[in-house]
Amino acid sequence: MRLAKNPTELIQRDKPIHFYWNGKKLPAYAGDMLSSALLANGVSHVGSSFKYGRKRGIFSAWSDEPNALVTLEDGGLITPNARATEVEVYDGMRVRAAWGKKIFGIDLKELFMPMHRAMPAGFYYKTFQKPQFLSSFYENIIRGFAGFSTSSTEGDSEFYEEVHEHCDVLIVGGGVAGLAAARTLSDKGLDIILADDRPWLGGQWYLNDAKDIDAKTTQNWIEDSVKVIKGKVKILQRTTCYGLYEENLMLAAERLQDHLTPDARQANLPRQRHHKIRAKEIIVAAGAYERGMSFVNNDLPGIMLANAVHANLKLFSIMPNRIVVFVNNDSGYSLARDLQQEGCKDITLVDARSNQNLGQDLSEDKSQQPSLPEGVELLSGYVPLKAKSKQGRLHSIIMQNADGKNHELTCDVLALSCGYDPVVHLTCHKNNRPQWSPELACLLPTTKGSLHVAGAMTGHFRTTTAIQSGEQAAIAALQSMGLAKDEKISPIKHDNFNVLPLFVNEKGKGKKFVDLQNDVTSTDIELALRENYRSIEHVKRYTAVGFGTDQGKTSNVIALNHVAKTLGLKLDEIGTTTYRPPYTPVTFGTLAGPHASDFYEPYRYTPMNASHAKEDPEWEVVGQWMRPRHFPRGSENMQDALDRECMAARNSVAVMDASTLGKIDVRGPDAREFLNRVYTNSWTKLAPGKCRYGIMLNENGMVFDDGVTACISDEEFYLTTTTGGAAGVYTWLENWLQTEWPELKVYLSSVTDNWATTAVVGPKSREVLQSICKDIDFSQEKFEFMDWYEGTICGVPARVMRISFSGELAYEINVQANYGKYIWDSVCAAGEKFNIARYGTETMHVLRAEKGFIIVGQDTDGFVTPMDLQMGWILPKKKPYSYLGKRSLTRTEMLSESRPQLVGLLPKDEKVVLPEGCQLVDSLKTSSDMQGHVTSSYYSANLGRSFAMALVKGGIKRYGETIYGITRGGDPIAAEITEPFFYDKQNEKKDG
Amino acid sequence: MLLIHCPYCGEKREEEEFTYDNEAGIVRPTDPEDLTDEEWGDYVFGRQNLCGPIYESWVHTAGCRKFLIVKRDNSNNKIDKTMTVQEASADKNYQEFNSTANSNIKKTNK
Amino acid sequence: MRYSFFNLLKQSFNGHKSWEPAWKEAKLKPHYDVIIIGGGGHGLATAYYLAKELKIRNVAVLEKGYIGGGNTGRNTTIIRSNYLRDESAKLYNHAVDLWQDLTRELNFNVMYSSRGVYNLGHSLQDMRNIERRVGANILNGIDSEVVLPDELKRRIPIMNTSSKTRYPILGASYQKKGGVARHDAVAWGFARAASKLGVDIVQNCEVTGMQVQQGQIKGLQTSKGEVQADKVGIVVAGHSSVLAAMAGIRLPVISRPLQAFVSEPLKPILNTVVMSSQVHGYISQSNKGDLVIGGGVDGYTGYSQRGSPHTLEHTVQAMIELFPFISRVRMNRQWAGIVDILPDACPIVGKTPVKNLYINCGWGTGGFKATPGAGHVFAHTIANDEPHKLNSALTLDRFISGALVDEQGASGVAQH
Repeated sequence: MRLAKNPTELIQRDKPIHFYWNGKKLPAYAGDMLSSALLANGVSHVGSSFKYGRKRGIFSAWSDEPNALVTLEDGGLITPNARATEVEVYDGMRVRAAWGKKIFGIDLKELFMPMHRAMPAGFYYKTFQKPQFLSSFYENIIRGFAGFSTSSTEGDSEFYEEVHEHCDVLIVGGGVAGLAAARTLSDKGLDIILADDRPWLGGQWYLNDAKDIDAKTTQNWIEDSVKVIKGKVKILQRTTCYGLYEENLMLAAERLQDHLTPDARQANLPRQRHHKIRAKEIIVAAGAYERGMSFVNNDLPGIMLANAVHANLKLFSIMPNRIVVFVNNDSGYSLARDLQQEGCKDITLVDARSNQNLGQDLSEDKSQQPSLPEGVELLSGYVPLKAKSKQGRLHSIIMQNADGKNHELTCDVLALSCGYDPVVHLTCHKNNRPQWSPELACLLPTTKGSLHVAGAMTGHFRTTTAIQSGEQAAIAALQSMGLAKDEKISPIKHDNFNVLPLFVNEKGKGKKFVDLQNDVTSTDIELALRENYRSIEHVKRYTAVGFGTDQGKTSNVIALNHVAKTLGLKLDEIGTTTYRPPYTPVTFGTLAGPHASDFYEPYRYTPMNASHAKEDPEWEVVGQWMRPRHFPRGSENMQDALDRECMAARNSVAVMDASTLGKIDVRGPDAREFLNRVYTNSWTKLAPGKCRYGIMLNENGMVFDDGVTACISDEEFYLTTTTGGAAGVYTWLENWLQTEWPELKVYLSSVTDNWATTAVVGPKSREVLQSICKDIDFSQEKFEFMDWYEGTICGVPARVMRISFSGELAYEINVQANYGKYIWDSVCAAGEKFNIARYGTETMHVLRAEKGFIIVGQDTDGFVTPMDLQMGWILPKKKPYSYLGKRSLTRTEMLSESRPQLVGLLPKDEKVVLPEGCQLVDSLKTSSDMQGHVTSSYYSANLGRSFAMALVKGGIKRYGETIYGITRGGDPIAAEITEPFFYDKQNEKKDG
Repeated sequence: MLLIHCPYCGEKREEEEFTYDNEAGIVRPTDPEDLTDEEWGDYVFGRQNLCGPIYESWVHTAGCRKFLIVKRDNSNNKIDKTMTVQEASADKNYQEFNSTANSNIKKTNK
Repeated sequence: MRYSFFNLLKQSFNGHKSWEPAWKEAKLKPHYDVIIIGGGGHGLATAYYLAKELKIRNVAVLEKGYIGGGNTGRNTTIIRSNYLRDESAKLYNHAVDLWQDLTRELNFNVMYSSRGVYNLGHSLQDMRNIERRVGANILNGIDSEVVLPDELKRRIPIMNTSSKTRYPILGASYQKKGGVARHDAVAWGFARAASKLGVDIVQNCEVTGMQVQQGQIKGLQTSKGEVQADKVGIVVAGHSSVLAAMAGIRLPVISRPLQAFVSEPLKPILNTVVMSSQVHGYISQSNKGDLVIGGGVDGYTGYSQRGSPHTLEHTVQAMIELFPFISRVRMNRQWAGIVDILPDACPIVGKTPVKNLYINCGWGTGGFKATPGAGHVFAHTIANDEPHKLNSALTLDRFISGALVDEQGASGVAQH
C-alpha cells in the first residue's frame, strides 16, 4: 500500500510512469526502485528459487537481494539477472521474471515437490549414475532447469569506457560515515573521490533517523554535507567499487545510463564506465547488511529484512497492512516506531530477548535503550518457528518461546532484524581476514596501512557514531599521508545493539533456508558435515551455499555460524571462505571497456596500404598486420591469381610489399661481435655494402628467427627479422645485451616502422629499377647478388638491396616510411610496360617454396634445428664465442637420425595438392606410424605440378621413397620424397 | 596489479608497462662446450621457482626498454625494491641470495 | 553405503541421517608404504589406483589444506585428448577412456559430460596446425575432426563467425568425446573410493621437509609430525618446485597464476566447449547455467592464487569478440590457480634423481582432463619403480637429452 506523501520519499508524485511486468502494464513513480514499484502494485511473487522452484518475493533493499532476479528489456539492451532491488524504474521499462518453465502457473521444479526430500545437498553426486547410456538424457533434463534469465543472442547496442584516475583519498560509500569523512577532508586541498553505488547519497540513513546531529535531521545533515563537499570532492554515484588490488588500485563500475529510458540515453555516452582508481589512501565506509535467520519456511514472499521494509517505508512510502517485526537486538525498534508514526495500525514487535534480559542489558547505557512505540504490541522471548502461507505468500508466523509456547500471528509482512553484517568484502581483497566479534555477532574488518574503515562497517551503526567514525577515518588518512599530527586516535566505542546471536532455529520441521537463491537449508549443511565435508570451503562447494548471484551476502554468516555450532567450534577456528572480487557482479562489457569490436586490437597497415586497397586484394591477418594475400584480377579465382603472379615473377617482373618485416638498427664498435653471438654464422668478414642471411637459435638450439642483415658500415648493421618475430627478437637481443653482455658497446633501435620495403622481383626488375633510379648502376657486374647500394629513386633516398626470397633477380627498396606508397606506386607505374604483377603473401610462399626457402613458424615448429632443415652449412664449427643455442645442438637427442627433417614431396598425381598440415605415413597399413607432416604445399604454375615441403622422420636419407599423405575423408595421396628444392637448382636465375 | 618503480626512469609505473622476463641470477656459462649435457640442461631449463621473496628480471617494455631487477615476494606480490642491472651486480643481498638459492645445485658456471 | 537413487530414497525417510562420511578423517601413522603429497585430483587418483589395482593399501595422501582445494577445484574442467604428439595424446586419451566410466567406477557421479570441444583457428597457420593435429589424432585413434566456418555457424549460432571480425574464425578442430566434468566431484569421488580401500587421507598436513639418505627418500617432516615412507610421490601442481627443492631437485617448472571466472547463471545458450588459443580464451556453460570462462596464463610467476585484472580483462575482450552477447552478461565470481609451466607444455610423470621419490607435475593449464589417466600411470610408476608405457617419454631427463615433447608446436605462429 502506498502512503500519502511522506517528507523523506524519493519518488516524484508529479511524475507517474508505467512499466511492464511480464507484459502487464503497471503504474509507478519516477524515483521508484523496481522492487518498490512491484511492492506498491502488490506483486509478491517476483522470483523462483534455483533448486526447488519455490515462489519468492522481495527480500532485501539492495545488492544483497537473493530472490528478485529479473530480466530487463531485450536484444541489445537486455540486462539479465538484474536485482529488482537495484533497478531504478523508468517509463516504459520492460521487465520479465527470470523464473523457469511453468505449466498452468506452476514452476516445473515445484512439480518435483514429492521428490524434494530425496534431493538433499549433493544428491546428484549420488545418483544419475546408471544406466550410463541415459547420462546425457539426465543431463539434458538437468540443463533444462539451469539458469535464471534467458540471455539475448545479440551483441551489445551500447558501449563502455575506461578511465584511469589518481587521487589522494578514495572514499567508498556515500552514507553518513563516508560523507563525514569527505566533509572532514574537503577543506584540505586534496584530490578526493567519493564513490557510492546507490542512486541517492546517505546510504541507509533512514534506519536511524537521528534528530540530534547539530540540531538537524539526518536528511538535512546529508543535504548540508553534500553542499559542503560539492566542487571539492569528486562524487561518483551509481558507482560500485568492486575490487581492491595491489598498491591501492580500486576498480569500480559506474552505471551512467541504465536508469534512463532507452530513448533518453545519450548516444555519445557509454552505458557504463570502468574506473581504475589509484588512491594514496582509501576509506571504506561500505555500510552493513541486515541479517535474517533460518526457520521453517523462512523463504515465503512477505518475509523481508527489516532494513528493506524500512527503506520502502521511508523512501518509497510503502506500508504493509499487518506486520510482525522480529528483532534479536535493539535496532529494529526504530522500524516499529517509524511504522507506527506513519500510521500502521497493526504492528507486533517480537523480541527474541526476554524482558528481563532487555532490562539488564540496557541499564548500562540509557541513551541506547530502545523505546517501545505506543500502540505497538510487544512479544518478548519469542523466536520464529514456522511461517505459513496462503496463496503463495506469507499468511502467518508461529512464534515460540523458550518454554515451547507457540503464538501465531497473522501478518502480510514479517520483518527480520537479526543483526548487521558489515560489508567487509573490499577490505578482504587485500588478504586481510575479518574477525568475528562475539559482542556484535558479526565479522568486523581488519585493516592496515593506507586502508581505513568507518561507519557501520566498524560496528558504528548509529548515525551519530557513524559520523564520528567517518571523521576519525579521515584524520587517520591524513596522518597516514603525513598531513596531520600523529596523535593517537582513541577509538569510538562500538554501538552495542545487545544482539542475542540467532542464526538457525533448530526447532520445527520443514525447510529452513540458509541460502535463499540456491535453496540451501540448514539440514543440507548438517548433512555435508556428517559426510566429512567439514572445511568451510567443502561445505560451500558441497551445498552451494554462497554460490549464488548474491554471493552469499544474506547467507554466508548464517552458514558459518551453523557450521561452527554443529561442529562445536568457535567461529574463528573455522575461518571464512575467501572474499574475492567482484564484490557484486560486473558487466563483462564494463570489464572489456572500450576494447571491443573495432577497438578490440589494433590493426597494423603498411604505408602502401592505400594502394593495396585500391586493388581490392584478398587479405590475410598476420598477427596485428593486415597483408594482401593475393591480387585477383577480374574473375580470377585464387589459383588463377597465384599462377599469374608467380609467372610474372619468374618471367617478367612482380612487386611485393615487404614492409612488415621486423627491422633493427644495430650499431656500435662491437656490433660484429654481437651478431656473431646471436646468429649461428660468422659476421666478422662481412664488408660494408654486403648482406648476409642468418639464423637465430634459442638456447635450446631450435630455430626461432631468420632474416637478412646488411652491413652499412663497420659499426652499423641493418638487421631484418620475420614479421611475427619482430617484437620478440628485439627484446631478446636487448636482453642479452643488457644483462649478459653489458661489456659490448652495441646500441639497438627498432626501425620497423621507419622503413617501407618494396620487393621488386623477376628478370625485368633490373630494367624497371634502372628506369627510375639513375645514381645506382644495376648492372650485374656492379651490383652483385647480396650487395646493397644507397641511391635516389624518383627523388627519394633509398637503400636498395639485391636479395631474393624467390630465387629470381630481385631487389628490395627501403625508403623512409612516408615515401613508401610513393615508391610503390612509382615502381608499379614503371613496371607497367612489363605488365608488372602485384603479389601478396601466398605468391611469396609459392615462390620461396619452389626454391626450398623456409618460413620460420610454418616449416619449423619450435622444435627444429638447422640440421633438421638441411642447413648445416650455416653452422660454422669454429667461432670463438659459443653462439646462442650451439651447445644444445650436440646433445644426444639432436644427433638422432630419426629426427623429423625437411624434405620435398612430389605428389604422384601432379594435379593433386597435399593439404598443409596433413600427416604422412609410410604405408597404407592401418597400424603404420606417423612419419611427419606437410609444412608447405602448393600448385606451381612454373613447375606445372603440385609440390610440397614436409618434416619427415629421417627424411634426408629417404629420397625416392613413397610416402602417403592422409587426408580427411579423401583417399591418401602418394608422394615421392625428394630434396626440398624444386626450381632452378643451380641458382642461375638470381642474376636475371 | 603491481606498481613497479623503474630505476632508470625514476618513476613508479603500472605493471602493464613492464614485461616479466625470468628469474634473476641465471648466468650464461662462460664456456658451454665444456659442460656436460646435465649441466647445460640445468642452465637452459632449470629454475629455482621459489615461493616467497625472490629476485626477478623485468623489462620496461613500454618505457625505457631497460631490463631491471625486481625483488618481489611472489606469495603476496609485495615489491621490496627494484634495481638496475648494474646496481644488482653490486648488491650484496642479491649476490648472496643467488648463491644460497643455488647452493644445493651443481654449479654450471665453471 | 552405496550411492544410488534407491538409497537416496531410503535415506529421505530418516532425514538423510545415516550417510557415512565420504572419506574417513585419518590420523597420520608413523610409516606408510607410499605417501602421496598433494590431495588434489591427481594425488587422490594415484592413491586410489595404488590401492585398487596394485593392492598397495598402506598409503597416505597428505594435503596441506583441504582436498581438491588447489587447481582441482579452480579449473574450468575441460576434458579432451586431441593433442598433437603421440607421447601426450596417448596419455590424455587414456584419461578420456577412463572418464567414460569413472562415475560407475567410483560410485560417485563426477558428471562427465561429453558435449564436445572446439578449438578455433583464426589464421592460416592455425588451420595448418589444426590439420596436422586432427590428422595425428585420427591416426592415434582419437576422435577428432575439422569443422569449417559454415558448419560452425550452424552448430554454434551465437558465435561470431563473421569474416569481418579482428581475428576471423577460419575453422576449428572438434572432439566429440571432449567435454567437462564436475571438478570437486572428481576429488571427492577418488577420496571416497580410496578411503574405502584403506588409504589415509590427512588434511591440514603440510609437508615441511624431506629426509633423503644416500640418495634415497626415507621420510617426511610435516606439520603433523614426522613420518616414514618407502616411497613418496609428489603431486602438488603449483608448488612442484617448492617440494622438489626439499629433496634438492631443481625442476624446469615455473609457477604462474591462471585465472578463471563465471557469469551469473543463464538459461542454456551454449551446449558445447569453445577454445581459442589465438585470442586466449575458452568458454562453456555449466549445468547450473554459469558461463565458465578461462584465459591465458598471467604474465609473471606467483604463488598468491590471484592474477592481474588486466589479464582477465583481455580474456573478457576476447570472449566478447567470439560471443558478442556476453557483453551484457555479468561476471559473478573470479579466482585463480597456480599452474606449473614447462618449456614444452608437456608434463613430467616419472622418477626423480632421488631413489623412490617420484613426481607428477608440469601439466600447465591442462591437468584436470588427465586426472584419472595421470593417477593411473603414476600409480604404476610408483609401484613398479619404472614408468608405465604411456608416460615413458614424460621424464625429467628429457630436459637434459633434448628429447622434448613439444606440444607447443601445435600453436607455433608463422612468422613470414
